[in-house]
Amino acid sequence: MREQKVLHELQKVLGKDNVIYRPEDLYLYSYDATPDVPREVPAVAVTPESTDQVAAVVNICRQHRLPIFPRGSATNLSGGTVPQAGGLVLLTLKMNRILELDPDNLTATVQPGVIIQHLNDASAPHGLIYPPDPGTVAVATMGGSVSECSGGLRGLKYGVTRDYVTGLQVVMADGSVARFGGKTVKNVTGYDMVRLFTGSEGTLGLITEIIVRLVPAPADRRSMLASFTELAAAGEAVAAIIRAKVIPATMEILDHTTISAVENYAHVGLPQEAAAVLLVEVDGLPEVVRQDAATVERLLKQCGGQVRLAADDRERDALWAARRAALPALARLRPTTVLEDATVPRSRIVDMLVAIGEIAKRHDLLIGTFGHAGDGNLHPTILTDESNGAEMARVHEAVQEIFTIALSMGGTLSGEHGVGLAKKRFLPQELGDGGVAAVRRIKQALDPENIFNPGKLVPGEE
Amino acid sequence: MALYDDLTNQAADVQKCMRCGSCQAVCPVYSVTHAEADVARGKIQLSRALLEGRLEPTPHLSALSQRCLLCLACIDACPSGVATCTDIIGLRAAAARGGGLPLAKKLLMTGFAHKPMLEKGLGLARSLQPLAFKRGVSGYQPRFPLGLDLRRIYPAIPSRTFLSTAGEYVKQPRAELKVAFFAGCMTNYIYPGVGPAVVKLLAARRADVVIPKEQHCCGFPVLALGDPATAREMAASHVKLFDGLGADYLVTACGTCGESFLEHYPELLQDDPDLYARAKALAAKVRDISSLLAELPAPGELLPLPWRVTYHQPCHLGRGMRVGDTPADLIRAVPEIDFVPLADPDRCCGGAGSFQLFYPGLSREIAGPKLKDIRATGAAVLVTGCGACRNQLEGLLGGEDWNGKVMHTAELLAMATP
Repeated sequence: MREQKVLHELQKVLGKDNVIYRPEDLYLYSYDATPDVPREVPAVAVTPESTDQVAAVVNICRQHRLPIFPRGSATNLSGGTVPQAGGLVLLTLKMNRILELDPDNLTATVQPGVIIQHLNDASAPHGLIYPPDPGTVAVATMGGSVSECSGGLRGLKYGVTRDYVTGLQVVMADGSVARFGGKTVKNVTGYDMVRLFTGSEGTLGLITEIIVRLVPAPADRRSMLASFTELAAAGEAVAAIIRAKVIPATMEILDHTTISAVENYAHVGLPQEAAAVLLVEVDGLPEVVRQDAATVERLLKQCGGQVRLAADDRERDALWAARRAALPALARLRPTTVLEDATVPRSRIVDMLVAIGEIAKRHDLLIGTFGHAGDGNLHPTILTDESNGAEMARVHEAVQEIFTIALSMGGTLSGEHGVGLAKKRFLPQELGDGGVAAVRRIKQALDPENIFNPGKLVPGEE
Repeated sequence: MALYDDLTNQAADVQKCMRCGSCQAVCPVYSVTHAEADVARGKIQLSRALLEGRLEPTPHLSALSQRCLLCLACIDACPSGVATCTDIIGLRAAAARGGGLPLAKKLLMTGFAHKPMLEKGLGLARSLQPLAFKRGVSGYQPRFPLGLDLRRIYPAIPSRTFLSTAGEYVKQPRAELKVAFFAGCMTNYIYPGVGPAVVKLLAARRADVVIPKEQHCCGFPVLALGDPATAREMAASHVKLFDGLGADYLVTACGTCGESFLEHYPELLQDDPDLYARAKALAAKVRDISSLLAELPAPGELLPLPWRVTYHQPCHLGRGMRVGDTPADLIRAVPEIDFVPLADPDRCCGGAGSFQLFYPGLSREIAGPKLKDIRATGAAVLVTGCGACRNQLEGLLGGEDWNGKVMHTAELLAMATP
């Protein structure tokens, strides 16, 4: 009865085409890309087309105490978009317009359903780029990416999503529409609400408009790939490059397990016996690129690396093929892929890789690790099988140990995937009781009735 | 149980999907609708829900399973190597077994499976065409909606099929090889001019051409709609028919027909060791006409064709039979031709066999970027290697008052052959 009434009200506000209610369709909004998270089917899903419609949905949901689970392309790895049974999934995909590209102010204003790559495609003719580039750049939405504060391959030099968001329009829990920040570089009016909402995982309000900073596209770039027979040597190379005051746009590492998987799958010419491979790219003005590339090449060789340089774009693609193949190659080894993102200070990368190797051995698990050596963000990728209960229990223990060791090194549970459902119970370990209490109070202040993405990020009273 | 007869055969593949959503970037249907049910990830999860008993094979589920072009784009994009199209056909078959197939699709399926019925139906349609359609220069436009797209042109159904006019064994003096030709429905019924073009090109290469009269639909439309049992009978009859001909090659002029011989016949016949072995042997001889022309020595000078030409790559030729740049290279080799490539030649045109009949609006929207790309080349002739693509693009461009001409790769090359 109540459900019929809610459906009717939603249809009145949004139109029939924007309300999804058949069980077969609703089942498809019960998951995202996170493995090992129970699926719950929402009561209804909606595809609003404007901020006003989003506000109207919030008002209907408040009245009927229906929790709202925002969802873009559902590519996240924290269970951030998995709903609870009986809730409403709010899809941002029809709010997919780039509202403005402003080359004079170096900003873009977009709706949350815009795909990150589409923003880059639109910026390219102006000689501009939007640097955050998570692995899902071709499919992930700006709304999801801002809500999760995505990182990507260029974090070392260009930072992460939060470094680019300068303004937000948000529908708040009382149905009002708030604007925070704007196009200006400088803005100290009030609390930094833009940063609070960036990475808030949809728990504080619904983002309906985003203003981001764009930067000039680098004029030149050069890539090289170095293989090392000792893990420690690769770590020393990373440190030496940073010490030489070169900040590469990308500095990626692949461990031995990943190298063999990539080579078996893609045959890109990686030395199978290597302990680690580093993929380094420098970018900027041609003169700077030339100098930096020479420095990087010299240091890689000094540390014992076998170096392959890309002379042109075609050769660059060949080098990058190895990195791009990392996840697909690993994912094909076993039915289930648990992709973690524990992050440590850059100087501890090698220690962390060694520790992950030991954890894999101790729990008899297959773990391939690759990731962003330049910013300490690793992706220990556990290859397993969801249907094997005993093995999954070992996976859970290994994940717990990976978190503990990352924290002990001064790192974090999550560099870029977010907390969501998957890491919520580990939050006290990093934030402590005082930190968790503060997080909870922020949630209560902005969403007193707990209607926005309940059960995510904020540890409950359980 | 053979591949499509039981959904549990797809269980292991379905489990491989890690739900990363990479398929969203390449799915032509999803790019228009943004509905999870329309992208491979959603369809794979529907299969999973059926396998786990969380959903039943309802008519609505069946309808969802049909909303796919089988364009193969997501297979290349999938990091986990999920055989998405195979799984989607499996899902359709499971949904159809559950009783979920709508009447119109059942009728279409019956038509393709029974040649006399299809021919009677087409004969009837031909005589009724002027009643329901307005005759234009290039074809017919519907007078009433009839569930069809009023803005597009439908081709006039020819009065004589290719197979009814073609010789069964076209012999050459001093023949150096023997090629069997599988014409396919689009060539046989809708564009019969493609047949003689193929024969001319092969004859110019000193090949005897065998065109068995008893050939019929390749069976893919039936399989794709979810009836593997009928498709298997059709596969068996073709394997028996073509296996005994002693031909060096089996040539097709449609990627979907070619894929049937290459992939689907062995798949469908895997439970019958004898037929399976013969299907595999036959598969090794299958070539698209463009690939075979590239393999054989060129017959000599070509005649000049001073036209601006572009080429659309059919999904089942490009991602299916992997012909690559061969058709475009053959076109470029014609003297005086001004070849302008499409911005994105591999992108699906949205035709996809009967998809454009059942979802005319969606099909037109999917075709949008393709039509724009074709116009942007300024080409007077659009060449493609698939009757269904040709039908779609000719229909939509014709409805937009495009003045160009659409032809099959074989027709263009035959015109350039003395």
